[in-house]
Amino acid sequence: MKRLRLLVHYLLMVALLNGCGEQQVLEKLGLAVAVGYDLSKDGQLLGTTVFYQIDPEARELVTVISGTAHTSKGLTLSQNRESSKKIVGGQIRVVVYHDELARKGILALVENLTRDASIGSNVYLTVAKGRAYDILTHRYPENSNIGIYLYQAIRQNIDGENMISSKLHEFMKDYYAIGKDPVMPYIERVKNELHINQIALFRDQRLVAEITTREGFFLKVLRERYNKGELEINIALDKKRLFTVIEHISSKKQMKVLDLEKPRFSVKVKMTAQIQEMAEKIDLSKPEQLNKVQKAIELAVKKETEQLLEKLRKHDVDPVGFGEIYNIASQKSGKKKLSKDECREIMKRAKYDVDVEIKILRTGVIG
Amino acid sequence: MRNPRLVFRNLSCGTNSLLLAYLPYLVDTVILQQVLLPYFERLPEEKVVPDTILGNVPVAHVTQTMDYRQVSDYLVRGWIYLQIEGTACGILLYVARIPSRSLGEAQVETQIFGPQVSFTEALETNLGILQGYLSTDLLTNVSITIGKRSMTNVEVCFMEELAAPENVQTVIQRISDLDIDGVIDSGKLVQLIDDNTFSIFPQLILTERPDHVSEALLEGKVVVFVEGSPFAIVGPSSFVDFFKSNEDLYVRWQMASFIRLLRFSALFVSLFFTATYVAALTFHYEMIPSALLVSLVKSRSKVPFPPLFEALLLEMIIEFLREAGARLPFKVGQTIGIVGGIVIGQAAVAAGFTSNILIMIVALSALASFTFPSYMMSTAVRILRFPIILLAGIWGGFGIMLGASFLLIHILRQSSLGRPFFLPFFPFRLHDFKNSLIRFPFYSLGKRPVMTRSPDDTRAPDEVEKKRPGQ
Repeated sequence: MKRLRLLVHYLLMVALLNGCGEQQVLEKLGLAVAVGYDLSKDGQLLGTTVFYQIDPEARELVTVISGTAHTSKGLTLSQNRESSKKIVGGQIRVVVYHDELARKGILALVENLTRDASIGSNVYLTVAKGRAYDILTHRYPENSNIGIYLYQAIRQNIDGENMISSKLHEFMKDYYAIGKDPVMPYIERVKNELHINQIALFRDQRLVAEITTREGFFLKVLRERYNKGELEINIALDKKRLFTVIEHISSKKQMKVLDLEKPRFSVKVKMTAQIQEMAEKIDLSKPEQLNKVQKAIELAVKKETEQLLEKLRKHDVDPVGFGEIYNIASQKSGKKKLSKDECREIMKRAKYDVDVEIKILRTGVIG
Repeated sequence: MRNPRLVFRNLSCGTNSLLLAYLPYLVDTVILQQVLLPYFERLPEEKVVPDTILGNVPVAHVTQTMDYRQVSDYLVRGWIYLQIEGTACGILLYVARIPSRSLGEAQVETQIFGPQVSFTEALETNLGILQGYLSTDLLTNVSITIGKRSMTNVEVCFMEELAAPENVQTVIQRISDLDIDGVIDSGKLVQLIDDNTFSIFPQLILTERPDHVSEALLEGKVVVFVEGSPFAIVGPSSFVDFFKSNEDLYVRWQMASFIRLLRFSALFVSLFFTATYVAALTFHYEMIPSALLVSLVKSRSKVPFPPLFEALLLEMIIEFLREAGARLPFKVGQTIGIVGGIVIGQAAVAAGFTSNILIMIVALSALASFTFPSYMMSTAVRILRFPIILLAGIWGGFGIMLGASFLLIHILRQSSLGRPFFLPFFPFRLHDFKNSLIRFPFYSLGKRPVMTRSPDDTRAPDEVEKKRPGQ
């Protein structure tokens, strides 16, 4: 009898609660792949959404809807009015921000993405040179869906270690960490092609500067562990300047605070690589020659790293996270936790001792 | 005894007058004619006493009775009743020829490797086969007759010194406590003696393989044979036992482990794959990988039904096909495969009835359920798929989790002959783990499973030491 009552309860639960799950049947949804945010002329937000093209018989291969509103959810509402399907954000892969908008601060927009449970943290955030609307609505003859194309292009570059990853959770982590600033890929449309050859530097939530992807390499080495990828570098060897390409670079970095009062950091970079190409014929099988080349590369890498650090300080941004390291060290010595602004003040006076150690593992089979 | 086929035969040999009574369709008439009748003719002229016949009649089993009510019990089992006129005592001679088929290959539990013979319907034959595998006097039987009307012979077999007495006692107790008019097959008996009738999971294994039964006996399990049934009942059995095939013991342990893991993954595929499809398409569009998304939506775009209905429909079609294949005569059954393949594979998609991807998923989960060695378990899993699909369609992933938790709790609560059903996992027993999800090499399986509570739990101490690597 008790069992029967239990069973009745279960069945009642199934019967009565089955309306509570909100159904989102796949083919009735407009699945957004890429979203762009622009600043429109009247100060409102201009949103552009790229969808998966579902209908196999449709003539257009890509669906783009845009609208204006004051908030990002307001955009979804206004876009829904133009769409035959319910617009949902669970498949968003790329978000593009107009650089004008990024200069004013994008935290509210980014936070909105994190608040939506259906949007995962694997969304790439990017900054566009010019309006995102122009990038997303342009017809690219070689790509059927700009959203998917953009996603694949960014992912390919990040997987190949050519670009610093800027997923949603990475942005949020960098933003909320005291003494660290986020970065994003900076994309640009050149005629029918998309170029990703700059990196946008943020100060807190505002875009302030950009660096080239070459500088991005050194930034990436300082920010995270580096595993593969290659670099063309100009070295001075026997008073001659020549180019060499090193590949299969893997690097580890170690940063320490040397002095808390006059902020001073030691930056140690250990790299292993193999030489792929030299512009001139040099017999690398001799150890003394190889040593020379090694030293020359070390010097060149050190120089470029120092230049990058100088540039970062000039723009008053800290994407490497020196402030975070400083903060930890100062708390260990018994001081109070610093605020974001205090950290930034201190970093303005920071000095860096850069020390690069490169080991050439292989010089090619025939070299 | 009111059987009109009952034959009474009067013989007069010298001064003796003999009365024979038997059922002709149960008695071996060749022996009757060529052995017994000549023997009666050669009886001495003077009066014989029953003891004389009991002493030298050329028949293996002979007994005598004073109670006429017993006679009919013997007659229906193929005995011949012999009454010598003028004596109060009747003689019973066993000359039975019970109709039965010859030994055949296992049809339900097929195996590629290992012995192929299977049990038959005749109890004596089955015991004979079993004793052939285990030529030891430790193999003990307890005979019980059950069924007030059917009077079915049941043999409870176990290995003395290996089987736990309480297991044997439980089985015997449960069988002898039955008050029922007839038990025809072990499939019926197993439902009458298992621990929880309301569970969909079988708790005792039914097997037609003598090698499986022998191995189980060596593990200290108890086996029940039913007269007229080619399936033996093996217990206590854990949930994992239903996914073990005896072939796992005949192939190398790496292969056996791989195949075991394959079966367990098949369990999850069979239970949850279709349900996951329904949940993803109805609720969790964000979980679908982007590479799959476009093809998924394209194949769904022509289907007029919601995913839940679509999935249930296709699962039903598969079940129809399976049942039709099982019920139809062999020659017609083959066409079912072709018809089903074409109807489901081509026409249903072309007609916009279902999507390509769902067909693949449903076929896969049906296929996965056929990998289990136990037919009962595979049927149980196939049935359980339906409520889980329904829950997935109502509550999405939450519903699947609800169903899975419900199942898990249910399995945890079951027992087999009073032993925990989910044994190597809960209660956790490391030793039984070695022969569960994967099969370790034999040197590490030196003990009998904890499940059986064998009084002598060491299987092969010397062999264990010898085979350990590095010694």
